[in-house]
Amino acid sequence: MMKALRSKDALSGLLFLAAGLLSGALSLGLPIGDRIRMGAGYTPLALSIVLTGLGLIVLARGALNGSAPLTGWHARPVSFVLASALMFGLTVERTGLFLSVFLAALTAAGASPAWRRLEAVSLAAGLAIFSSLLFVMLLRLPIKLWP
Amino acid sequence: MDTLSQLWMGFDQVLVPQNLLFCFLGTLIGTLIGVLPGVGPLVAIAILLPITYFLSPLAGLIMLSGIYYGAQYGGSTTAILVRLPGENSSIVTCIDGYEMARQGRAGAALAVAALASLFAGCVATLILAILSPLLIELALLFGPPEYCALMVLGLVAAVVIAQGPIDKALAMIVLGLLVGSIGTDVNSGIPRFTFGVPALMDGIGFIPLAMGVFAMSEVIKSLEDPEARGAGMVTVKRLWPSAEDFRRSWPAAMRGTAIGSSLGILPGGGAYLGSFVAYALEKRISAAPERFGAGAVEGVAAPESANNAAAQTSFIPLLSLGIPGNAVIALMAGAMMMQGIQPGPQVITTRPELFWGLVASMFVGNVMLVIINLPLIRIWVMLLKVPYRLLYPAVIVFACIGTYTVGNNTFDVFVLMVLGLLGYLFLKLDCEPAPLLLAFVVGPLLEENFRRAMHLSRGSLSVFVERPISAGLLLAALTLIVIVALPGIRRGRDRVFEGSS
Repeated sequence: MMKALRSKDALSGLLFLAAGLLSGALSLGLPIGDRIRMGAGYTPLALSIVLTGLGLIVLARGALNGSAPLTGWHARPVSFVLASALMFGLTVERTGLFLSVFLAALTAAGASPAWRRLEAVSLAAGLAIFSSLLFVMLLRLPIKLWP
Repeated sequence: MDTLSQLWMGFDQVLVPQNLLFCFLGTLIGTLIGVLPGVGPLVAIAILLPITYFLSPLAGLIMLSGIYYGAQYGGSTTAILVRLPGENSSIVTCIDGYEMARQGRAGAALAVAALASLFAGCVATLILAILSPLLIELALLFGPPEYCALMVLGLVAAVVIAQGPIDKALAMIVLGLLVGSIGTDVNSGIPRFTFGVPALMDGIGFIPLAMGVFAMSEVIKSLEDPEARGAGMVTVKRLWPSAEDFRRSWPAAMRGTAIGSSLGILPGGGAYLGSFVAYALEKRISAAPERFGAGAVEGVAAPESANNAAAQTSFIPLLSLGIPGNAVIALMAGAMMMQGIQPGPQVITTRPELFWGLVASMFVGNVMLVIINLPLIRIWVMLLKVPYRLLYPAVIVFACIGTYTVGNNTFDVFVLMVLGLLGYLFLKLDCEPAPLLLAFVVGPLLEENFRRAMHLSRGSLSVFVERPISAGLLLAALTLIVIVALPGIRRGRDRVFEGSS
């Protein structure tokens, strides 16, 4: 049973099912109304019911037919790429664009094992200079450049 | 005559230094990302979308559309030279293009691809110029029920061309509609699904969604796979095709243009579908089908003209009816809305300079592309040697900067991060995200029109089948679903997609 649930389709079905149930529960807290005067929750509730139904179908089909199992999780790329965005979000308003881009690019370099240290630092510096020139100097976007 | 004078006015708009520059930049970037595998037009347009906010509306649209059709050109270069499709719409070009290159006819294949694309681009742009003003007449007959039916048809078409099982694609559409309903309900002012977070009152931003689900997730996915390597590089000798090549490729380019143009207009259509169908048709009607796969020049001319034609005509539903037919065009719709322009029939009448300027820029851009592509071919090929690790930090950083600058809001960057994780999950689970993005954009429009239709009909659903246009559109949507659900056609569809995975 657990093995059947590990297929890509069954897991997708579970994902859709969970999303449908969650949004359905949240929609019930909104005014529903009727078809002539729809409340804020009318269409979300209808869509949630459809999504829950589709989730059940996908789950059943995946569990019965057993599609390809979910494989090949690599923690390194996913965590460093997301950490890079987190780094940018945390620093950009404090340190300004230049340092923020430098730190984010350096974090991103962690996602691939192929980097040499000096290479990564120079690429990060290059990106920081390039984006400062392009976005702040040339396009004059309202972003702080320095701390 | 009227069309001509309007078009002339469009050229007047384009032939100024600023717009020419952005046309050139767009086609150049399009070629670049077309050549680089792993960076598609969707990602590139998503990254550049925030920048267009600071340009004039016309310059922004010229650049973004240039990226879209430019990518169709660039994709063929790598397909022919290293059997590596830069874009998924160039997958079929690999088959005969690379074979031609191995036989020492790489130059001829490249030239045929470029000339066929140029021809197709110009014809399709002409179709766009003539058909859109006619379609806005049709739009006058459209009430809320018709708009609903048209959007449903578009979403169903997106399901049909999505890869993988139908039920998953349908679920992605519904999920996209739900994500689109996050934020304040326009009718009652009541917040939906905001969990009390003030930053969510305006809903999830279009840009963090597009970049998270496409750019960030693509980066993660590409880093997991070993770096894609093409087959052995082929040297380019003579660029000019032989008389025999010309004789064979002209009719194929014409057929490809016709197929691409018509499939591009349909909701859900686009460059990708056009190239597959055009290639299949050439093979079927050929007197010597065994030549296909062994370096048939028609196998290059037809799909390359089809994908370029479809890229141009897929603007028609957006510019005439205000409804994006595929995910790339949905990004264009997003770009217009950021500038305060509601896409729809009123654009041609109230902002003619925008419509005709865009049309004229497509002629200019197609000519620029031939110039960018053929003489500079060696430079583009060199780019293929750039390792992916030098590219991906730039994609991440630009995605972050782009997301941040739209609202000067770090919350959006965190949304980008979460959606990147979600997009990665979708990729891992083989759930194609393009229908989700389309549904996200169309969702609010669909809800509003459904609400109005129900209000007008006093809650009677029969209004959708009583009005002939809406009944026709819904019938078309139903037919599509039935066709795809039939086992025989399902197998054919899966076979078509097999070559792409």
